[in-house]
Amino acid sequence: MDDSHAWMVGFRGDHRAAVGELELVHVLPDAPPLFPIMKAPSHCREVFLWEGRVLPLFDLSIWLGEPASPGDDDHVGVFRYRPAPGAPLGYGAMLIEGAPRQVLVNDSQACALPEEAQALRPLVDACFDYGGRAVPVLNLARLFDTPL
Amino acid sequence: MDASALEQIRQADLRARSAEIVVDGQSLLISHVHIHSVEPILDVRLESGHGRAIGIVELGDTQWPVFCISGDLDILDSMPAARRACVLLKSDHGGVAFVCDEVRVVDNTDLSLVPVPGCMRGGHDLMESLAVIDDKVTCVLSADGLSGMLTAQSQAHGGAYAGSVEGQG
Repeated sequence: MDDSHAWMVGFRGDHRAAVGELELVHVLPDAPPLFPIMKAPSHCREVFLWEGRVLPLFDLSIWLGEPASPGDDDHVGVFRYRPAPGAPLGYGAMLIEGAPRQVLVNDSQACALPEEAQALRPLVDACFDYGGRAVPVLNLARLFDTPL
Repeated sequence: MDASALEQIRQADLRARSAEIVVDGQSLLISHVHIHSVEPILDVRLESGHGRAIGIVELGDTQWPVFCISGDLDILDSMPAARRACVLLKSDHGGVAFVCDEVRVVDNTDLSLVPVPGCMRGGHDLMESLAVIDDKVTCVLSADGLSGMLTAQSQAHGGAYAGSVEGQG
């Protein structure tokens, strides 16, 4: 059974999720200048400039119902994704907590999305067990490209 | 003429000249083709009886309902002290106006337009796109969308003027 590499990422409120090995491209050491966007949803209110691109900053913790209070160990992770086969890469950012961790995953670890993570269902492709804890795998195209 | 040609013309219009308008520290861009004029705040006659408009501006025989909006485009019922100018919009919905803190003309061929990210789009048509100017990101507002929202709000509250302005230029 083939193992795949993934990045496991933490979010404020002790939440975790994973993305593909090639989907996390950068973790910014310092918060960039942020620009608020009028009438944007509370979980994604600001954008910033990164390498000439305008990136939305998605706060998954707010999506999961956590209060909008920045933590001491918050960082900005930059992600890329393929919206559709053959389409140009898309880029977006998420507020993450702590350092991302690379993990090896295989099909035997597949599990159901736990009850406490049901709010993520529209954003998730799969879920795997890691050390007795379910880790949802995010669909970044859906997360960044879809009005939610 | 196909839709992409119309879009190119629209973007060319926007690039040629637009107004950067600041409200509560939030800047937004509106194409100059959708702006009738900018009037001093002293020309706004504050009075009730116009729905959620805070008053009117009179230009000749025409009365423009004037709204006060926040930096997040919510309608306010009173005017913060920072408001200094009044922007008169022309759109398919008729003429409406709103007060703002600053206005400056942007004549910037380096203006770079990008779509609003999907995850930031709400259920409204207020935003046309985002624009990068001088290493800042600004919202490009749809004058029709904003006028429509203000007009609808005014009509919902029994406004007497919104959508019935005559003789706008």
